[in-house]
Amino acid sequence: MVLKQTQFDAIVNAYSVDLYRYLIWLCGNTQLAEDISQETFFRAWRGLDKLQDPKAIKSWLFTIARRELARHFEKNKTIMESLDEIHLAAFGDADPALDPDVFSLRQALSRLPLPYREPLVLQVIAGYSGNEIAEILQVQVNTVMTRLFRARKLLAQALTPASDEKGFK
Amino acid sequence: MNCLEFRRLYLSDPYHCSEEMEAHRLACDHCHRFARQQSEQEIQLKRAVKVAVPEGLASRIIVSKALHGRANKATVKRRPFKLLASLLAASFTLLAVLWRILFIPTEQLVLTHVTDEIHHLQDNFALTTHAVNQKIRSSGLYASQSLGPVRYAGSCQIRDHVGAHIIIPGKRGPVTVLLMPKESIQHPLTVKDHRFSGRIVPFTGGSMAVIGERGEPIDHWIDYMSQRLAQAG
Repeated sequence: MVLKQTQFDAIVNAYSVDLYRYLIWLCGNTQLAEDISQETFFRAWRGLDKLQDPKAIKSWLFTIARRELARHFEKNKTIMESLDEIHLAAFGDADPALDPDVFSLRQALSRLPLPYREPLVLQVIAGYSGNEIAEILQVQVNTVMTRLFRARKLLAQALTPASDEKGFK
Repeated sequence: MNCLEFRRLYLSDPYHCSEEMEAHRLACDHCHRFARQQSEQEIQLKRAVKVAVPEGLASRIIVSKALHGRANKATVKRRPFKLLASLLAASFTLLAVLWRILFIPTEQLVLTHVTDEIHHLQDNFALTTHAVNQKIRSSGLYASQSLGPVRYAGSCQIRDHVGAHIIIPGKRGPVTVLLMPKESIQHPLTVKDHRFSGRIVPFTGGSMAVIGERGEPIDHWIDYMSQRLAQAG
C-alpha cells in the first residue's frame, strides 16, 4: 500500500500540470479543469494495480481525463464540440501587456475550433506523436495529421496581417 | 520528397522528423529557413500553451485522494475516537505533503523538472555554442568549448534559483543536463524512475544533474559536460 501511495504521488507530481493545462485548453474553465484533474487521478488510483505497462501511464491518464470531461458535459447536457471558442480570461493572465506575442497566440489558439485545438494541445503540451494522439482521440492517424496541419495554418493566418501573407512554393 | 510535402509534414509534426525530411531540410535552403522559422514559432506556441496552473494543485489532489478514500469506506457506526483517529490521520497526511513540498529532495526535484518539461526532449534546434551561452548565461555558467549538437537550451527556475536546462543527443535518446548553481549536495546522488536514470554530482559550488533513458552511459556525459562547462567570470 505504501508502494502504491508512493507511485501515485509520483504520478500526480509528474503529470498533474500537463493534464490540467490540457483540460483548460479544452474547457476554458479553471474550476472544471481542476475538478476533472482530481477525478482523473482518483480513477487512476483505482485502476493503478491493473496497469500493465508503466510507460502507458501518461496516455492512460489523458484518455481518462478526456472521458471524464465528456461525461461531465453529458451529465450537464452540453456538447463538448460547442466549446469551439474558449475565453482567454480562464487563463488568469488575459492582460495583453504580459507578453504581446504570447497573448496573441493564446487568443488565436483559444479561437481554434476544438477538433483542431485538441490535437495541437496534445502534441505541444504532452509531446505526443500522431499515432499516440490518434489513439487518445480514437480517430485515424491521417485525420490527426491533417488537423494538426490545418491548426498551424489557421494559427499562422490569424497572426499574420493580410498584407504579409505568402503562399508556399 | 519535394518542398510542398516537406512543409506539410513539418507543419503536421515538427517534433518527429523522418530521415527523409532531415535529408530534404539539409539539401534545400528554402525549407531549412522555413523549418527554422517554424521552430521559433513552436517555441512561442509552447510558451502560449503553458498557462498558469493553480498553486498546490498536485498536493491538493494527493490530499483529496487520501480524504476521499476514507470517506468512501464502509459505513460503520463511528464512535468519536474513530472520527478523531481519521482526523488525525488526515492531518498527518497533510503535514507530510507540506513537508515534502518545502523540503523536496534534490533527486525528486530533478525528476519532477525533467517530467514537467518532457516536451523539450523532442526539441531539435541544433543550437550553436554561442546560442547556448546566450540562453544559459543567467545561470552564471557558460560552455567554454563546443557541446556538440545541442537540441535545446534555456534557463529554468529550479527550487528558488535560476539554473540551466540543456538537452543533447545521447546513445539511447535525448540526455537532459540540469545545471543548478545554488543546489548544493554533499555527495553524488542517483536518480531513477520507471523511464529515466541519472546522477546528480557536485559542480562549481552547486550541482549538475545528467538524466537519460535507462541504460544511457551517464558517467560519460558527466565527464563530457564537466570538461566543457565553466563558471562565468
